Amino acid sequence: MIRISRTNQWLLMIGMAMVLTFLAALLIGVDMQSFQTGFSATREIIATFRLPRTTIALTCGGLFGCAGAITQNLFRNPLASPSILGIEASGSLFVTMALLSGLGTIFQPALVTGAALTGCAVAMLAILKLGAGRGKEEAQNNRLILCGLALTTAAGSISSLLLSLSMSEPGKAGPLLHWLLGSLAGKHWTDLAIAAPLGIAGLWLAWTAGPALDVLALGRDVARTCGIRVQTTTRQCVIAVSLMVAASIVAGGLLPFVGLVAPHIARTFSFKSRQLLPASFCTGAILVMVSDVIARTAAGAQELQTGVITGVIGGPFFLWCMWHAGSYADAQNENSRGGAA
Amino acid sequence: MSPEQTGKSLRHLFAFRSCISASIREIQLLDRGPLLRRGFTREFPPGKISLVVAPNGSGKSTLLRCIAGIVEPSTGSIVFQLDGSEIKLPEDPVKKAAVIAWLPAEDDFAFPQDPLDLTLAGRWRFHQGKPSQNDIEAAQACMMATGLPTDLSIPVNQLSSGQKRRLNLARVLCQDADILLLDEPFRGLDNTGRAKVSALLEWLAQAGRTIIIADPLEANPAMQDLR
Repeated sequence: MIRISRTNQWLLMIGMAMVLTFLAALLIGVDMQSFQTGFSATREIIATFRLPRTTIALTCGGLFGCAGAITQNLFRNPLASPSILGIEASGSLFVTMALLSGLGTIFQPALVTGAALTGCAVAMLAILKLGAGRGKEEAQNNRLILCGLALTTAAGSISSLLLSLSMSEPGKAGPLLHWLLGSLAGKHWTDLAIAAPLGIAGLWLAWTAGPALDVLALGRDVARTCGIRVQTTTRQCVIAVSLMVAASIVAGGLLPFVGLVAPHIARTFSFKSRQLLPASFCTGAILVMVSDVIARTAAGAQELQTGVITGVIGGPFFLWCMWHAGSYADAQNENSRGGAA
Repeated sequence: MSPEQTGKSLRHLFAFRSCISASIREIQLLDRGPLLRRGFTREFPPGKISLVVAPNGSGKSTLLRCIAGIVEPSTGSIVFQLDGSEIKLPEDPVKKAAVIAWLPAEDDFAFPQDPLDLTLAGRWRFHQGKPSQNDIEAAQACMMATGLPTDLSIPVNQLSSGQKRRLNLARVLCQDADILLLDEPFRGLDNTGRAKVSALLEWLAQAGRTIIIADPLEANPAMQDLR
């Protein structure tokens, strides 16, 4: 009982840390002189610019964090995440195609959302199909990551190709590049209004799939013999991840590595998926809010892209994960050799 | 949970009942080990521990996977019987989990899960995500029966190989299925663990369960006890 309450205490603390980061992100900014110009000016800056932007950072980070936790459990791979498996890249490719296709601008929000959702779902289904093969778990894991990398590279290259072909039309290429780099500058409540229903639906599906996903983390065959309806749970997770990633990239653009890093930090606090999801939400939200503050303030008046900052933090963390996974496997082999001797 | 409570809970959990048996009839899988390449026929009666002892790579694990319905044999059939009459296994995984429980040869825990949660995965057919106090008590009793403390708070991926084996066994036991397919259940266990598990399996066989054990070692002391 003490152990469970301790886990809940961690969850409470990380939730409070998220709220405090949110409040701090509202107050921190380069235009500190606005405090001197008067309270009403500061209030306006916060209400008009920082509140929607920080709320979007919180939502996108949280959704990426949850999508990462689900992806890792579903594929039984600690290195799986929406960005590593090409889900994000595929979503962005479909959005790029939709934006450059020149289809009616009135329907653009619906078009972008639909495109992102289709792209994410296509990538998830492709990874499920390509990554599942016969053989040992380790070989399957490697295969999965390689498929993901191939998909990420292919989708990223096609996006770049389309972008370079559209450079002659600055009106199209400029905003697209801004979006592809994961900038939260100039985000408004309307961006959140589009993403929120998708995000909420995704979170609800993820939450209801949570206990089954815990068992699925033991392997598909074991889960099936335990009584899990593997196909139903997998489908539910594919839809949940697609909804959450699509909502995030529609509202905030590409924020690489958040889906990988957030669940790993969350796992240090909690072992249970019911607690892992809220903990991943909080850690993802904190990561993106902090990255956004750095993006706003690090280069003075010049704004950096939040997605670039999350990549700068997430890249080295991914390398650390790979190194850690390698040394863990070495230790396991060493143990089994010792055991056999 | 005290040892008395555990004993009571185990007696309640594994009360005698008529269980389903399995008959393997000429099953063949051409690309697998010699056991299945030349065709395999055998009866696995209820209330008995059946041993499948064969060298590494002979196809024992695949045989268990065939019975569990994970692998489809190329030819032949697996017939399930209850009280002498042939029955068809339900398609629904929840209902099927009441018939077959499977312990894979490897304890591959990818994530730092809670040991009690992992054991409770075996009770999924009863709780489907919302474990009751009964389920928790059953899981704790099975953990204790395999020699693990019920308040074990080490993440499962950090347990020793013997502890992982015991935990995975506890998961299979608390599923309380008619047929227990156990792939190398004694691997990595110490002498006390082997004795505990052997005694538990004998008790389960007396309670009517169909127990099928695959092991490569003819000279395994625990297997000798079970013969």
